[in-house]
Amino acid sequence: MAPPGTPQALSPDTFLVLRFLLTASLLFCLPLLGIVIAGSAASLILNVSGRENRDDRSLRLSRESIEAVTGNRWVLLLFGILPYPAIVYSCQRILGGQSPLPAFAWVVPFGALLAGCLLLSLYRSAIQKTAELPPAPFRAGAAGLLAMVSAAGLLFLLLGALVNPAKLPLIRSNLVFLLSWNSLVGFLLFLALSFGLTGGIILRFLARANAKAGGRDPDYETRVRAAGTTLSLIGALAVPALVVLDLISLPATGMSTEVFIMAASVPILALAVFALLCLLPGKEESRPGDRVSALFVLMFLAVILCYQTAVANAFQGISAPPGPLAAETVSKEGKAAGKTASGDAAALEKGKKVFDTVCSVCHRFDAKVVGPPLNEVVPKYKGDVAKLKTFIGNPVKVNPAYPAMPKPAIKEDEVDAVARYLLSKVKTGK
Amino acid sequence: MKKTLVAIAAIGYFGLSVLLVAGLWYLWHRTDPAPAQPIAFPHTVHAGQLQIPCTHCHAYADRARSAGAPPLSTCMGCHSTIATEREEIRKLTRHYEEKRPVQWVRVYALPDFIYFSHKRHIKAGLACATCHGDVAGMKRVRRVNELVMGWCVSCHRVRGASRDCATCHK
Repeated sequence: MAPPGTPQALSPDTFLVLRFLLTASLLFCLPLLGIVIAGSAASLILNVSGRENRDDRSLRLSRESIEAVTGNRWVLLLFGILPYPAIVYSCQRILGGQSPLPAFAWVVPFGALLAGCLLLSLYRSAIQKTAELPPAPFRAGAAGLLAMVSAAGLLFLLLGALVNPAKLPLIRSNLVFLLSWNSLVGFLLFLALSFGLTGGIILRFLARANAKAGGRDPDYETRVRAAGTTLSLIGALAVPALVVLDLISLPATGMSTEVFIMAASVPILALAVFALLCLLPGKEESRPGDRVSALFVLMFLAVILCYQTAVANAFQGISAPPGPLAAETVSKEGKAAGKTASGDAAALEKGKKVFDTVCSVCHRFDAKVVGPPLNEVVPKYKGDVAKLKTFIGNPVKVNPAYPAMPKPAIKEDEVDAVARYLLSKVKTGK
Repeated sequence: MKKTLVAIAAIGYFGLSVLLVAGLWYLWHRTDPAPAQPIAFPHTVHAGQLQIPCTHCHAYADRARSAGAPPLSTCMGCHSTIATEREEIRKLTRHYEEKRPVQWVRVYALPDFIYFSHKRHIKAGLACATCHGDVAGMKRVRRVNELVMGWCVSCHRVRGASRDCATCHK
């Protein structure tokens, strides 16, 4: 019986492949999901403020934002949603065991993801027809955003289970144990990075605004710059604090020096974003969109690599093939059986116990370990208990191919029991 | 002037977070989950390849509070004849001959105010790996669980063990 809840052993190679599959899928999925969430949130807010202030430029930016983030639905489908099954597959394999997390835990976020995409595309086609949206498509957009945010939140809860495998048995008995500070901080970090990246993408509109036929529209440029800079700055300022909180809430077993180095690189990249937006001279003329986006993509990369290293660390103790558990289990089962056995069987049971705890260190029946395989040497005693007892009590070197057997620290009656056990076992060939 | 102040504040804020990360690294490093040991004892060979049961060396696990580290005589039972030419075994032999115990570095430690018994947990049917992970696969033993109260209590709750304060805080 494997201890309940212990993840099923994966070979280190399989584990490595799964880790990389997970990292690659997250790298495709998370930034895109983040852009969709932050872009549609920005679009909805701009739409409300544009309608209230009768501001056409806000409405235009609102439309362009949602167009940009859901622009190519094939890209969205291919990189945003299709990696999801790969994430589920690798998580379930890593979590392993007889009862991985229940299927509905994975189906619910996936359903929310699809529903969110559908509702946002409704919102998008409505806003393309008219910038002054009637309430219904606007509500569809808000619901879509909510669905996307919940999908991402649930996904982060599930991903959080991977960095704390000690909680797995608890999670399997009650899904409430999925809740963890680390998941919450991870989710907030994801949102901060997403808003920052979306800010970078909006800043790229500057180029488009200038290239528009009919010359420049300085008001629109100001609006774009204000929206993009605000989003990027929120991201850049929130990220360092969240990284520190993430490290505080990360279980110590997931940590390693590499995790800290990657985590430390994130505030440095955030400082670069801040410098690009606020400190570097000539910012009025420059168009930092590409550089800001690239820096946020790098931060995403650092955070995801950091996460996957933490998963590898957390599973270090439990990913290798199981060792002596089997031997322990056998002796435990034997003990249980011994309670009901009587007479001879009880004596043999005692011998088996001595064998399991003392002799099995060097001897197996069918294989050479430190000493010779017992199936080869025990038959030489031809059932002579006394002779075997003499050897076990005072071993002498017989075969030059093996090291001399040390005198075992067991009592006279235990020598007798184990000798009888060995002879019975080899004779009957069990 | 204003720009300089903003720059200083920004560098202060971002620099502080890098420093905090470094500080957290230092705190973590002080309680390294996989500390270097004076003798590089490979559990991968003993518990892994040779499948020696845990209780062969940690003999008190099923009969006392502490599982116990084996006396050097247990090691020398085999290593007086086996692999004697290896550097780590030579170190071990020197310790044994000079009657100088090996100062193993603790991997798991509980504070003084916790009463914990290995015996109780083994009797309840827990396998060593439930708390210690697959030690047989570890070249250097690594702490796989932080022994914090929430972790203990959650397991007690799931398995229906006592959650009375006095069970652990005697």
